[in-house]
Amino acid sequence: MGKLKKQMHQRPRYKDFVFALLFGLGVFLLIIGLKDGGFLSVFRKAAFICLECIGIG
Amino acid sequence: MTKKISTLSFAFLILISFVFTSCAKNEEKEFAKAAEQLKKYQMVEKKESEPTTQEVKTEAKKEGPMALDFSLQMTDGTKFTLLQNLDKPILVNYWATWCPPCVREFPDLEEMYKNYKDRMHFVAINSAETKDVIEAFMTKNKYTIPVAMDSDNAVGMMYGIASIPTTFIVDTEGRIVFAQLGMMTKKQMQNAIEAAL
Amino acid sequence: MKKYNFFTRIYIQIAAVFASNPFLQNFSKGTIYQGKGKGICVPGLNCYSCPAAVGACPLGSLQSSLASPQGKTSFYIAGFLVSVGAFFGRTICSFLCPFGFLQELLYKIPTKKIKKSNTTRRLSIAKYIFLVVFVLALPYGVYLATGIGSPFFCKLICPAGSLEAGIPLVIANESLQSLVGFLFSWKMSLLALFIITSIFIYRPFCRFVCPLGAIYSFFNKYALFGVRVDTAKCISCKKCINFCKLDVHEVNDRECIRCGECISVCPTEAISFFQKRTNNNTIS
Repeated sequence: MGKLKKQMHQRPRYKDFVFALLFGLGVFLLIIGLKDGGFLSVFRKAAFICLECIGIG
Repeated sequence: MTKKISTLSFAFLILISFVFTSCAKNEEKEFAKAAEQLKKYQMVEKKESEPTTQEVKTEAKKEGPMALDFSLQMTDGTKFTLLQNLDKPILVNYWATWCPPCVREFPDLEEMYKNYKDRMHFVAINSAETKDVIEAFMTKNKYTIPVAMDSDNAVGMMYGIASIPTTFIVDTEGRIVFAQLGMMTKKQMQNAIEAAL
Repeated sequence: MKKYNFFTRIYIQIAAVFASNPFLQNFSKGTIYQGKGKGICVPGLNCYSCPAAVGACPLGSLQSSLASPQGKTSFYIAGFLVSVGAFFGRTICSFLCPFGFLQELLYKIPTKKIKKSNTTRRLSIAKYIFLVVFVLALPYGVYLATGIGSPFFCKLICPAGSLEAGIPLVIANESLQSLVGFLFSWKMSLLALFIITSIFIYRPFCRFVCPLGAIYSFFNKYALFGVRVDTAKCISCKKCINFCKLDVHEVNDRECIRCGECISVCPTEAISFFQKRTNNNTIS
């Protein structure tokens, strides 16, 4: 983890800022989605074979 | 450093696989039993995919397995128990509102219901959706076919249903005489129904 | 010249294949895993209809959630893609994607190879078109027009699905065999095309088609884990760009899948995964 810290100091500052922003945005979206039943929704669709996707029916 | 990280990630990924495999073992056992049963139910159809009524009848005469009994709440508040409705053959369609082929075959299913409801029971079992969602769908599209709510997917698991839509027909003795995975055309539905009557 | 240990990456790739697909017993059963793991997206391209798969393909889930929107499900998937992308960018392509790994293995077959060129560079734009048209516009557009869409990339194109789901399921299920039609033949032909071209061209699906790679490519410049060039040491000899089999213009641009193979050809050891300690603020 130490080496990682040094690495972050050496990257141009703005890149770290954008990374933090993006990651924060990602987590934010994830949480909103989860709160709204996103997990169940993805689970239900993925727990059945998508016959369309494998070229049948 | 790179080597350490890669060995760690390698070990981590292998660990995840083991955790998942062992966690799912119990579920898998139950599911395996049911899946084996449904496999027996599925009749193989001719490639031309529009089997004649005669062909379906011949297939049906081979002894289909007994349908497993279940009891589900309907959207109109009543309870539906499969083996207590054997006065007429029963067509069961397993579906969900988010499943494109299910939604696409629904109008034809509805038409079959309207044409044959005096001679056959129809029940469309919805997989794990709330009453509100189902009713919204039915009202928006003006469908009247009876819908049962399999809210925890128990019946689906029992029958080993791994893909939807799945349609099967139970005759008056409680035997499964027809089963098909995937979307059905109107002709296919008609032939299957005629054969079971 | 710094020796890059190639063998480490391949171990992670192999591990990733099995971590995404642990339920190998399902291949003989002809069914899929239906447990709660399917609610979690995997980072690489791995069809959720694959018998052995434990998680959900992010592309498939994204298309499904646009084809029949249910609340903020698409936020959940987008959130996953953005978080993972922000962390890894296209490192996922070179380390964690099973289908990418397959293409690399096929390329190892000794034949004459078709090298990259201006044409391939221009073709690499195509993956963004596949993303916008087949993953985003068509599913959502058909939903708006008819009330329910379809996952069009999965349905019409994805060779990963054909290979790991289509083939095993049809083989193991008699009842599915009688249902195969034109669409199945189309997808098998596409799969064959990708497999054959992968022998002569390096990772053709990743470079020209994969919408997931297209999504992750936007994060390359900012992602935390990946290859870096120390601009103080770089002498612009372009050995890295010439050695790279992909259509990069510079290390870590959108085409870079961050496999690290360029590390071994850099004469000044300017490229690395984790920057060595220097006192200058000169990393690109």
